Amino acid sequence: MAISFAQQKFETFKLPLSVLRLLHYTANVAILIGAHLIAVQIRLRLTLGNVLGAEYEPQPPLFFLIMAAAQALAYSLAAWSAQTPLRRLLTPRSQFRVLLLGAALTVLGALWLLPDLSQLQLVYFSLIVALLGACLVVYPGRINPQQGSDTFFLHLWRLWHNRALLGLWLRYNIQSRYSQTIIGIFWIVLLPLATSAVLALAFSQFLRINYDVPFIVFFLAGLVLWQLFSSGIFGGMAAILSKMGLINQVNFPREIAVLLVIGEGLVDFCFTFLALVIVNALNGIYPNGMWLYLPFLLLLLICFTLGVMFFLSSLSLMIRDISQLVSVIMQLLFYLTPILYPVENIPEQFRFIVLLNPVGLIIQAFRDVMVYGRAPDVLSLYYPLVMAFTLLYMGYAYFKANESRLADFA
Amino acid sequence: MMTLDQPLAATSDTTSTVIEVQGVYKQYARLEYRPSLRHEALNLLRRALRKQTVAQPFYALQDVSFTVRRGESVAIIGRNGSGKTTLLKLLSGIMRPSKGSVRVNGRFASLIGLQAGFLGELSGRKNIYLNAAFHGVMPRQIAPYVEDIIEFAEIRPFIDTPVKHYSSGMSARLGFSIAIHVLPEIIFLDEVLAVGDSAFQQKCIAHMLKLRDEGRTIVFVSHDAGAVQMLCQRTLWLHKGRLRMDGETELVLEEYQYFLQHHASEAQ
Repeated sequence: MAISFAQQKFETFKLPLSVLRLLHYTANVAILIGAHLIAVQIRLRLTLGNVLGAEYEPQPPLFFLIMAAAQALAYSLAAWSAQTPLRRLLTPRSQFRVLLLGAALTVLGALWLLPDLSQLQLVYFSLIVALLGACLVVYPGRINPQQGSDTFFLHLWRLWHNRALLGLWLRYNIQSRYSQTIIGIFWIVLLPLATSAVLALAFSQFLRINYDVPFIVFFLAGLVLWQLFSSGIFGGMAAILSKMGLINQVNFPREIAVLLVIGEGLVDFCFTFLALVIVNALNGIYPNGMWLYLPFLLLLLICFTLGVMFFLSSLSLMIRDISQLVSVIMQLLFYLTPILYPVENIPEQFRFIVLLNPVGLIIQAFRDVMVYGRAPDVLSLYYPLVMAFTLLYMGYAYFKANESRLADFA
Repeated sequence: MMTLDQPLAATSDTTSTVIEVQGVYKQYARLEYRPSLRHEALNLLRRALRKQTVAQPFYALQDVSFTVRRGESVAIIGRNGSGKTTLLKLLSGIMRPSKGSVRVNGRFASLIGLQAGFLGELSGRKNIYLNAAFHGVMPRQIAPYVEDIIEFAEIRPFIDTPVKHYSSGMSARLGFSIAIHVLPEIIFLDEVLAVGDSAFQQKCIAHMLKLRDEGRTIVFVSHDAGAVQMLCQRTLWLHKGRLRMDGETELVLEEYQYFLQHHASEAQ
């Protein structure tokens, strides 16, 4: 081979089928456990029915054992069915639909049954998992092993091979964006600064609400992260749609179009973050050791955003109404996220709204670090963590399962 | 570091199959079939009312099968809308077939559409690097060849202007030049030669003959009988999504010309 071409994936990446199956089995169990953990976290925050106390043990090992065993059973069942005519039904897409259904059932089950971890609950979950697992022998089990396409790890491998494309494209995009305007980067920084200046005037002078720190510092810390999130969401919806011409003509890993958006968002974030640091310094808040938490918080937010973006980018192609719906939701979410107000101001009975919102939790931790210079509440980050990685995995799997259909929607 | 001009490793084995297309069907989701909640609900309602509204689905390709061996150059001809571009898109992995299988063994470069996957905002030079990356070539691998690419495409005065200002002939020339300089084992070309002037066409054909003699595989769509005759021993004739004829270029072209003259109105 003269060049290690990206298309040359079959030669470069080959795992035995058994290993692929094992990896996939693990991933499936992980996803269901992730869904369960999310449900538990939601259940802990809701004040419906029997309120869960702090003494509740959120991850009983027995439960996981049963889940894994049921998966294994279902897995062998499906492996058997792959040799029968039933295998026609086992397409990646149908499998993914069932996976969604299963995750939903798991969450609902947890919400409904969690307060008493009874025999009934265990039976319920093992049934769901067994049912799901039958359809969840993800890609490698059914597809011709010689072809070897469509496994999760091949996708990642192909993405890695195309990293040059991502880097180059991102660099060119950023260059052209900043070179076409006269004061370039300034525009990116201007918006959050202007917004927070106006709002600072409105809130601290007109409305006379008292914050323990200057309002502009308080607000800007939240806004900077929110901008990263919302630019990712809005950009992600248009990511595939706006590149339809290219997608119709060139074969490249489509997720690069989505990653491009988050990359640009991150570059913008760097500048707005710089502005935030300067504003903080002007108000007497200087960098401190707690900043070591920042990369972790950023990673959480990016994973969460990417997960949502993968869903939205392919869905917005199939259902065009989604972009309107999402812009409404984002508007509402902005006010439900503690950006303008501290969490302490929320009455106790509405507190759960904030606790259910991963972005709000991340922003709160970010503000703890940036503004108050204290360590974030690590326990409160547990829920965003599980949510982010589960969503990322599911979103990516969904995106890749639908990837081959994208060009049809042009 | 691996470079571009290493000899083709597998050329010694000239009998191996590089492209295998088996019973391929491609059904396009027409606009009225776009799956949406509203549409599904309406369909359910109609079905309940026993109104037959589900029309015949539109197949761009029906039951197409052929294989291409290494080193062969194959032309695809046919009237507009006969599925030529769809076939190339399936071959280059932009779409998946609705039924059947497509297998391409070896790295390929495909040149589909006149914009050839350029980003209009960027200059020609940047697009060279980007396009090479689309073909799976790292920037450092293509860097030594950039001058050659510009030279071949004959666009040196305009190389730093944004591609959106290029004429269609210029962008097609640049796209073609990049595609042949990344030295793929298989090249898919979709009527790109049609927009170049005849001098450039001659140059392209000469270059493609050279590539063919090196043992590379060329699949190209063309309406230009002269180019087809010069370049390809074998021609596929697609008609209304079906493979109507597959064989020696002279024979197929003769049949095709005859068909065009005598059945043109029937074919509508």
